[in-house]
Amino acid sequence: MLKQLFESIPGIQIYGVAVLILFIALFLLIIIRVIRTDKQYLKKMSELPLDHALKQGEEKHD
Amino acid sequence: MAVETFQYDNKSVKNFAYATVFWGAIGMLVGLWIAIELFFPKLNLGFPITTFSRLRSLHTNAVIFAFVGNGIFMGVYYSLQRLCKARMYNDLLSTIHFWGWQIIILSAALTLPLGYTVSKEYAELEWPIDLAIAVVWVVFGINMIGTILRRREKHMYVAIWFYIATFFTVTVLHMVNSIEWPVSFLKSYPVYAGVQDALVQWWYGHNAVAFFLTTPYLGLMYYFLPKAANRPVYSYRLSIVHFWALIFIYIWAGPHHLLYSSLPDWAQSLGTAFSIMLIAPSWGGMLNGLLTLRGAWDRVREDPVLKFMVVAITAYGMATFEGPVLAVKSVNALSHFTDWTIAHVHVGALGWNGLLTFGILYWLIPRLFNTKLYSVKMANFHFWISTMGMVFYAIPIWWAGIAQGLMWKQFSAEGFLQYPIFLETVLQIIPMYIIRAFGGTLYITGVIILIYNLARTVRGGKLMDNETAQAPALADIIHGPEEKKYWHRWLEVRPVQFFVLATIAVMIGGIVEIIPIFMIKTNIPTITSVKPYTPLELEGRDIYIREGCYVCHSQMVRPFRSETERYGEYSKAGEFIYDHPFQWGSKRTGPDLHREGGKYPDAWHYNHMYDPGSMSPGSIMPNYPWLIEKRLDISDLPKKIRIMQKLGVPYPPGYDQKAEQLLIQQAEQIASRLRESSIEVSPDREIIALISYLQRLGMDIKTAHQTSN
Repeated sequence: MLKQLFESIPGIQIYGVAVLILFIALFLLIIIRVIRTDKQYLKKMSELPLDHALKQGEEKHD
Repeated sequence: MAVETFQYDNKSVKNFAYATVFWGAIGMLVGLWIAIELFFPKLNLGFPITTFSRLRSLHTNAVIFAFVGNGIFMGVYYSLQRLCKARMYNDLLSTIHFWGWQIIILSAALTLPLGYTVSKEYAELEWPIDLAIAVVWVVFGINMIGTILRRREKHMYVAIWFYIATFFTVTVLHMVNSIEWPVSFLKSYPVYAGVQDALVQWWYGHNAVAFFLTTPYLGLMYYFLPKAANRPVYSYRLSIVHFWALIFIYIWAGPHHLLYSSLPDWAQSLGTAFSIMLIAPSWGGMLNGLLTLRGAWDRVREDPVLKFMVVAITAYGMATFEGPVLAVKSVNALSHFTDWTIAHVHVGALGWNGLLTFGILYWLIPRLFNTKLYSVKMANFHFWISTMGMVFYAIPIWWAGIAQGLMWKQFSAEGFLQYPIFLETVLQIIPMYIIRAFGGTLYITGVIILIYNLARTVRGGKLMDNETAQAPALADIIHGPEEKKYWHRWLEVRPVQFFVLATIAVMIGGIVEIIPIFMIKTNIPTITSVKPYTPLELEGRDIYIREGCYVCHSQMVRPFRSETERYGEYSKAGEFIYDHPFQWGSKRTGPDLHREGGKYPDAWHYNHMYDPGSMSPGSIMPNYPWLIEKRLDISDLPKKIRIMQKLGVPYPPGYDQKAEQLLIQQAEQIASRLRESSIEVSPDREIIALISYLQRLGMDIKTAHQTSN
């Protein structure tokens, strides 16, 4: 039923492919960058909600 | 370095926590009530306001926006302050946010049962309430972003990213889907019609699940689970991938609600592909949550908070696996319009949202009141009874959905429908409805235990309204020792840029999905025989909307032999061009009505609305006797016609002045036909208008065929 409607939109066929490529490119980029991120930093970030992380952070900056 | 002393606002957190529990109990009780009405319709006690079709939207709205909504705010207000090491931006905004949201809920609880509804699922509220929602939501956003900008912690923890994405996306969804033209204070018509309205609505509906029920709760998971387990999240790397992949993909999956409405293959495949791809980030998040507990499973055995969280995250995993499965076309062909969808959403709502909320409450309330939980034993019991409640809810309803879906499609060896009478398939699954209500009862019993346990906890402690904390000022941190730069760190210290990027990620999907929707309007193939509704039919349609008929009856015959055999010719896009709003529905508790016109005489409809059991013995449809008693209110008719004209419905000029006369003529025709069947009814009753609308449904095409033949 909606088929004709969507088909009448010019160039709509590329939408799907373009988006898939865009997503996969972004996804790979994020994965690569995440893998290359420093471990110490990740550890610090992941401990942010915990109370002892707060104390450590304060000590560091004092 | 100067250390600043400040105070966390715990009062707002407490207020939202109380509201969460209060509205949660109400929303679930209404849910149980209507679940029982499904097999015992007389439980509506004969009142319009307590009838299934009116209460169902109250149940869904209460659970989504009142229970989960307040749960989000409770969790955000608590965690955001701690993660930012700052008090909420502005106390007045916090107060306005809290009371504003409660007033909105209260007005929803009053207007929905009274029949003031736009009839778009999870967006039923009328325009003044929609406006209020927008204002209060923006107040929340300002308060949240203000807090983030004033933070004393350089980096934004992953939970905050989810909150930011939630705020922005919900704003856009709500605004785009709620564009309505007011008729009166509590009546409006959506500017979109038919196919376009349906596409906007399900773009909204799907993403409301994504960005109201999922992303904010993932944020809560990333904060409260590590807190409760007292160990950092399993992989921060994974959380970065989880966030970006999820918000990018989620908004694409909307078309899976419209499979088999003949969307072009590529669009259906895209919806399905993205839905399946969604398993990856969803399960990434689930595993990240569960693996956080690695090496701490012994504590899960003892701590009810962790138990709730573990089962909640598992339910999230189940629901996010089931969702993509339901988005596969061949599965959807069977599942759509059945109770399977209901089971699916309840695994999400009862399991993921419900249990995570309970876990957070059991952890949070003792801390706010500086005391210990009154009874761990009771909390453990609550855990088991709610888990059993879920099981007794979901399994029978899965069963009911699949069984009924199969019965609808079953052909006999001779090539006829095996179950030509729709009611037969309903009666088969009544026992499942009864077990489901039992499951709901268990779940609510758990909530009552929670209320008692928390009330005793509160009584045993004292609220720390303002909790004192200390942290160095942000300026000092930023100008502190130089750290090596990492890419995501750059983002995490820049909330504004982060906001922009997250917005772009969401909007790519949003825009590409929404642009075709707006372009469609000019492209709908017109069917010359499709004419605007007559004034009486228009009024009848408004009664159909007011009573919530769409809750149980679809108006969308899909192109399957099993459906065309049962209902008639499949639905075409051009048939809906004057439907503000569309009435496709999402669930068939009763049969599809798109080809209802001309199927039965007027007298049948009259008797059926008065007492459905008299026409269909065993029917679970409630009686609608008030339609026969109530006089049709046509005071807004000319205005309705003029608004329809503005929205593009081609009534001839001056039609608004003639409308009343035409309405009376048509009403008298119907009343005289009823008189022939020995039914005496005044032509000015609501039932007459409703009959005229029901008799019109699908007739444009039928009439055209008869003429051409």
